[in-house]
Amino acid sequence: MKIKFKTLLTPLAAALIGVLPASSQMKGGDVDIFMGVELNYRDIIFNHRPVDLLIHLTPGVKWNLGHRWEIAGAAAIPVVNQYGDNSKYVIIQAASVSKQIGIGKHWRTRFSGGVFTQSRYGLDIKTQYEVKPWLAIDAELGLTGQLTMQKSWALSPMTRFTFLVGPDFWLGKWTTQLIARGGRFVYGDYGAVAEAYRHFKHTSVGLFAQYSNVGKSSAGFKVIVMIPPYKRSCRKVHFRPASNFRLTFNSQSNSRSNVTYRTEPEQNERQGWFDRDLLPWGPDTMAPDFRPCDREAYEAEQLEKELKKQENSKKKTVISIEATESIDMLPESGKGVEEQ
Amino acid sequence: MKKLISATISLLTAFILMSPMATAQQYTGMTGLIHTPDAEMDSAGTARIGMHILNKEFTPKQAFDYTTGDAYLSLTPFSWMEIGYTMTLFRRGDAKNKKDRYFSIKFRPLKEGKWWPAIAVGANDFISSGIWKSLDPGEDNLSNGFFRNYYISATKHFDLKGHELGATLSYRYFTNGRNLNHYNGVVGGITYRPRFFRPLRAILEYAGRDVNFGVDCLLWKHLLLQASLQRFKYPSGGVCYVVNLF
Repeated sequence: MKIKFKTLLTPLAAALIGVLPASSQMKGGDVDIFMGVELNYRDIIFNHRPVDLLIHLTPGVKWNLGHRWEIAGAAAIPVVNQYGDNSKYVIIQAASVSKQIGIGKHWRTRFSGGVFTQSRYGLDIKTQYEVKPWLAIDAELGLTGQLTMQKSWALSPMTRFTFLVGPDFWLGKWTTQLIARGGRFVYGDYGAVAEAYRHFKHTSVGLFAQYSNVGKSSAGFKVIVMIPPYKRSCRKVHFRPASNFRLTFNSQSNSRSNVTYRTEPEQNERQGWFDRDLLPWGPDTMAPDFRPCDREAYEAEQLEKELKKQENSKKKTVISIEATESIDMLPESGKGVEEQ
Repeated sequence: MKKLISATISLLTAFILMSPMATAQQYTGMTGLIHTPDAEMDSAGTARIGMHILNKEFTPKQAFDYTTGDAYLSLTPFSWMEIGYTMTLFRRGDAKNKKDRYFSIKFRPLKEGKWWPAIAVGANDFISSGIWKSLDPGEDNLSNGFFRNYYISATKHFDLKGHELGATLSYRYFTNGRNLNHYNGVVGGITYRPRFFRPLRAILEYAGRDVNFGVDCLLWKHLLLQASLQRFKYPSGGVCYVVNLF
């Protein structure tokens, strides 16, 4: 018996697709409205407080326009401020538009423009090229300026060119990621950062070491916790808490060395720069943190509800018609009796 | 009423007995005995966050001549590696917000087998920022590293009809001579877990100068408590939340 190669390939491909992690990010047309809390603390000034606190509420919105276009924004509203007057203003944390594309089978890129974190505005390109399943090359280019949002707003010219490039290793067996990037940072310093993360079910913990020609060496750790609920609803508009909590401890307090911005308010080291179903690589191949709704089942359910509604309304109409007819069929005398 | 009390006690006991075990050199957030390290490790993915009250006899005299407290965060990313971050409150002069921060690390190249002990090497407070020196230029070349020490440990457990007896032998070296050098040298201890209450661990240790006694207990899988008496006299203790991130 002759079996066509295609015949074998089709179920194999279907099986493979079946075992790939499902997409957990938003679908075209979805709008997420979220609220986070940003906790900043410092203990670099000697006073009678154990730490100085700056707590922001960070309401935000994310709108997926389809075809991997996305608009995202968030504000930072100070609710506790022990940092001084410069931090008492409501600021735009990020407000950007971005587009992601996959080029071929191994190359994915994200273009962003707008207001970024660290009070930057401008344009940014992030790209990742998969060399092997365990090795990718990451690069980021930015052309930004400073956007000061205090008593009065001020813009510096968009002339700061930044770049970062380096290898990204994924040790899937140990769900461990090693990242090294070097280049020019936001405040014009040159340096490098090496990071090592272990990714757990909903948490990533990493150590980093960095060097800058301005701030010299430093090290610390990062903790990224994805915040429940882990199941996303199928509605077009979702109200939810911020997707993640990030904690960074840096042993040195130089805040102007090795600084990078985030182009999107919920960007984090665990989820990376790209949609997890756009040429998935590295941590994208792990089980998703947020389970997407089963849209087909949801749509079927909605359709069923709609049909039931229609059926019910039809029944009501029939009953009301029957009732009207029965009233019309009442004898004249009966009516008279009622009127009396 | 009696029934209710006995039901509550039974339920509580059942919860406790279901709990896995945890060990701790808890004031650092790392596994160990009370003051001395051992070669035991948490299972991979275990994270701890907690705080500890440290008796003034527990801490280096030059910086901590008073009872203080610390807070810590630790993680076992792999079954052979453990890392921790500890922040100890201390005061100096008028400035009351000072904290001594340090990292701890522990590697276990040899896992405990039937016939051989687990072997671990590690260090506490092994990275110094040197801030202390710049703040106090008049003092004798001080730098942070109050708790800095390096160690190698061997730990073996024995099953005695369901009861567990553990023995630890370590050699550790505090590099900062003005601090805790009385704890240098060969240290060790024994632990005991009763068959009827495995989450409980009794510890008797020789820490170099002191003989300490303590107990720790993991309740409801997540809450680790430790209480100890240094030289059977000076109390310290802490509480810790333990969770596996896998």
